[in-house]
Amino acid sequence: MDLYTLLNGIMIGCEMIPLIILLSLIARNKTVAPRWIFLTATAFIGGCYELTADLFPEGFDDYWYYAFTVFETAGIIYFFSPYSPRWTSIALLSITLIFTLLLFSNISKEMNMYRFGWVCLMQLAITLICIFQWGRDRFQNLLYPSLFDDPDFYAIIGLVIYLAVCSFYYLLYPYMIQFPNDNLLFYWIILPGAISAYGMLLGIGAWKQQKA
Amino acid sequence: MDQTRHILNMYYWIGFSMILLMVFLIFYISHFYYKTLFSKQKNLQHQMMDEVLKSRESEQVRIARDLHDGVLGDLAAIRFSLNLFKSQLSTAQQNFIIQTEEQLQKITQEIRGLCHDLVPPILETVGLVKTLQTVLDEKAQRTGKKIELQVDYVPQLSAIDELHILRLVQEWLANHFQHNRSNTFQVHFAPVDNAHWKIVLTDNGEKFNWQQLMQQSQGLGWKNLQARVMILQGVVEQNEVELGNEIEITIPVRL
Repeated sequence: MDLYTLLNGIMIGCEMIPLIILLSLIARNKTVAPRWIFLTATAFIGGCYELTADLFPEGFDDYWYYAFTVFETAGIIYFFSPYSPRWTSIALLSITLIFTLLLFSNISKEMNMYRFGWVCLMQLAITLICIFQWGRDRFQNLLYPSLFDDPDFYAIIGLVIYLAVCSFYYLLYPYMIQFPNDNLLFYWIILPGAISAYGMLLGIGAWKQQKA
Repeated sequence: MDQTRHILNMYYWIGFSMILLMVFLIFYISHFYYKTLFSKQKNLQHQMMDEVLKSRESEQVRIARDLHDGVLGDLAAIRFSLNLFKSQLSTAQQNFIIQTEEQLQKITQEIRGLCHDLVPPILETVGLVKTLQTVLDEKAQRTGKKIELQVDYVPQLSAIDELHILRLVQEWLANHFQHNRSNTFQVHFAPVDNAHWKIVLTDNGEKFNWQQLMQQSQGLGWKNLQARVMILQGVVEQNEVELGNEIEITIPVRL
């Protein structure tokens, strides 16, 4: 097994585990918030997406990526919906659709990593707006003795690391490909690292969810 | 080419490290600020609750004093007058007066019990354990229920903490007498570790869920109990038992 396959395997596993944890909690009659199921389901589908893209790379193009991005952003907006007014959620979802459609209408035949970077930045900006609303609620109500007792906090740290690193990687990608392929693996490592960290933090949050 | 590669490498690592550092710093600062805010809020709540309970205690003292010096004094005066008046009456009338005197005696005893409930007269002189034993014995006698006190450990406590613990046990019993058909109670003081001790309250009544009770209860009894636990900086846990309920309150040792 080469390093690429190993890292990919770890990344996909980490993305799939949180939903499995939640399902095991549901099977044990624990109460699980639907927004958590939705967020972990987006991560799970992300894992499936990576796996299918690895197994059948020829069938994948930008359309899949943008469709997944819209779904993932909707998952993030839904996750934070208890802390935002409804119109904010609708506005954020509309921005996602418009922004993605604008890029979608201009898709070239080749995968365009640079544009992926802009999509990721948009997701990060939307997530930060949602985190701001969440923070306002948490600092007003002071529900938990520490933020680390709040399962949402883990999901938020994971989301910020994942989206920031993805944006950074995709925006630098056009410069990276100027160098031979063996170096690309060296640069690429941060991507599965960030996605795995997101998956693991989401897993911790999902596990803590039963106690919250 | 090598120079471009070197610059890219540098930007890559600086950028990546900056992202991680910023994420870490932002979340650490938020966590730190949140914790400070939470502890300030908690302290404020404690202070407020302490003040409320203190004013309640002083109000109880005032009521007990009024009852003792006013109502009990008046009742004693009435009994004395009836006794003086009794000798001038016929036998049938005397019997009526005797019955009235007995009723007055009962009322006097009830008011005296009420005064003791409001202000335990011996807490400062004999300490928590003996006072609690006396209060529990009185309660057992009055209600006909079995109430047991088991003391394995009690740390040195301030006068106000002793009063909170006494009240806490009284509130617990009063709530059970009203809502939960238990007839056997046990109060157990035990050590946990060097820094903590615990009060275990056991009953054999209908099962309840402590968390749900706290969220759903409209009455003041359970809320008062919870308030006293908060002031003692204690943590309440409900243990699974076959029959009845077991509440474990772990309290830090402080003086």
